[in-house]
Amino acid sequence: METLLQALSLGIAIGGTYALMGVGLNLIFGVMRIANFAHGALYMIGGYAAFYAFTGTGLPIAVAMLLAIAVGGASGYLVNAVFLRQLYKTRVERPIDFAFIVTFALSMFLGSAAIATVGSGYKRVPGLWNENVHLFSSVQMSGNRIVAFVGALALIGLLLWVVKRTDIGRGWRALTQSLTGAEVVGLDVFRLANLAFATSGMLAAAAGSLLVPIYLAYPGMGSWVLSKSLIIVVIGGLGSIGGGLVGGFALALAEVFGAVYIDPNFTEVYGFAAMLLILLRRPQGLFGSRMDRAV
Amino acid sequence: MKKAAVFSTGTAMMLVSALMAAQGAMAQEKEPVVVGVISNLSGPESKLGTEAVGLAELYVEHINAKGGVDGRKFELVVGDNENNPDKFISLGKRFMQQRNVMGFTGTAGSGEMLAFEKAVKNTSVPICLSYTMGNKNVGPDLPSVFRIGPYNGQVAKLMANYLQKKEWKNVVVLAERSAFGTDFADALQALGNDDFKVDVVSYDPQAVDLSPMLVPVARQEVQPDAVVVVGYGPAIYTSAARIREAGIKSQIIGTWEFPEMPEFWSAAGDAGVGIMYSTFGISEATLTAGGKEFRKLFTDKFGREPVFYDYNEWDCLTAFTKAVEKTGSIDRETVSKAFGDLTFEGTSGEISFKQDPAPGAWNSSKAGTMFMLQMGKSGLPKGEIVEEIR
Repeated sequence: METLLQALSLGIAIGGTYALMGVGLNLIFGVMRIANFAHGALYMIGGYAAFYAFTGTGLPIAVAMLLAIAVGGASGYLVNAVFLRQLYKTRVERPIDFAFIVTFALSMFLGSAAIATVGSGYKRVPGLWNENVHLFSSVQMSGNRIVAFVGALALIGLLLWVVKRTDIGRGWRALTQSLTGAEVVGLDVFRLANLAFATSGMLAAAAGSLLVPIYLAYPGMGSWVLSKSLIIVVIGGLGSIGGGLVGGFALALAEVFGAVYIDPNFTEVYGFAAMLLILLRRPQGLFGSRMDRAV
Repeated sequence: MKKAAVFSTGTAMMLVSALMAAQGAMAQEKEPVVVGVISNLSGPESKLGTEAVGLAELYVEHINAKGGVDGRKFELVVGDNENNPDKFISLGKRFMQQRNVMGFTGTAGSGEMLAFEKAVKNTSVPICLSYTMGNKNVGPDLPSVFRIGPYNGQVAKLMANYLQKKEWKNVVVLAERSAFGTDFADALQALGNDDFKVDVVSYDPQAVDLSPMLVPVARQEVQPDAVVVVGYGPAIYTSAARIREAGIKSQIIGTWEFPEMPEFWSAAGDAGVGIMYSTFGISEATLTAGGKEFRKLFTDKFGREPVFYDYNEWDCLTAFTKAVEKTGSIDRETVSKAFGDLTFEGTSGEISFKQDPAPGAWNSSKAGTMFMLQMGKSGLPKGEIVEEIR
């Protein structure tokens, strides 16, 4: 029972941060129907921004993390407004391929740029709760992991509120139904896409800054995030925020329970196995629809 | 007619003299000895790779100032393997074809080095390892690969001796799934018995969080006496923090000097206090005259004392020199064969490459002594020696 509780707690805690990564990627899938392969690089930018804001300016760590989220938002905005601009300003024949090539190239460029500018070493900031905490008498967990979990859920909650209750969210939902239809009724697609990218960048950077105290910052950190995020969106369903949330928890629980109850040597395999299972049984993902409806 | 004959004779003599002079110059300018140093110059271990290149450049200055090798200049060709086996192979092959590289050395991980060794096996190009510890990096199937330095089989054996001496009977190895990590874990597990149980938990080299796989370790009926951590990836630096987060109170042991890196303390905090790790060293008493000369050259140039791997790398470069001197050739196959028969005085004793079938020992010249160190306080740059292990 104690093992079950520990596994469940750890799976839920990791799942919250996975969900934050997946939801950001899925927002772009939902709104623009393209994959942002620079999502991992935005996570990396968040991690480094938190590090330099904290060590370079002496800001309190909480403020440094907020600054990192703002930097991530600005970076996400630039990805769309500058590098994907052609999608909106000219008629690109194969927009999905175009976005894939551009964001993948950006991801490679940012990884190399990180090595060239900040070096290849590992960096870390102290977290907000640097102690191991006992929960329910038999569960032990890092305080920073709890902070990351709570922060992740708060941000996902905020995103859901924006989607459901604001004009921007209503605009995004219109885009998920029909890009052409949204244009016909006068919505500024480019502006809404920029805002979606900025929001996605903020979520990725938030994950990066919340997890630097646990996982460190280093130039290659974006690649595993991208890999996990892609599994999450496939499990949860392309373009669905709820799917990203559930996919994050499903992936983390699959990894933890697989490690605890099957074999710890294959921890990374369980997520891929879950993804393959979903692709076989329900290709649209748990929360995806065959019509690609999203947020 | 007479004038013409005199002119012709004079011209002929001038031509002959010119030819003789040219021949003399050619005799003096033999083809250089070109050694390729392919290291990781841009990845996480780039500091080590950059230092290896600096050391090789120092060797070239030193040997050329002494007149070169058998009338030949010693030259280097440097490349960055980017921690990528494919890049390593393409770079190495290009160096051999375009730059006439005769042999290779450098600091590379066991995996990418093994891929390279297999890819160039048919060329018989000699490769001298000074840093690469994988058991599979040497062997009868790789006759042109030689090693000066420690290897996993040796470290595992010495560590098993130490663990058993401490009467630690239940050990878990957290091993990165790489040529280095898996190799070490397999070697240590092979030394296990009824009184010395070794369990291995492996993880992906890109993994950042070992927590899921630590839950079953923490929930064992009896916690292990020691958790040995082996790998190079990001998880190694956060391993101590994750082990303690999981509630595992066992002794943590590293298999190389990662606890000396600031990144480790930044991630580990108090969880790193008490961590033990193995390292190799060369004592002052064992330094040869050549070793003392190297130490002075190195210290003068870099402003720090050489570490163990620096001595090994210097000995590797010396081995190339000795093999060329012995054969008078820079033909790869000839030099490679000469390597196997070499016996020379290295920086800390005699170097020779014995064909020992023990895991990792083939064509390997052991050097230095293994020490177990322990970090008594948070943030220390170096631990205290707790034992010299034999």
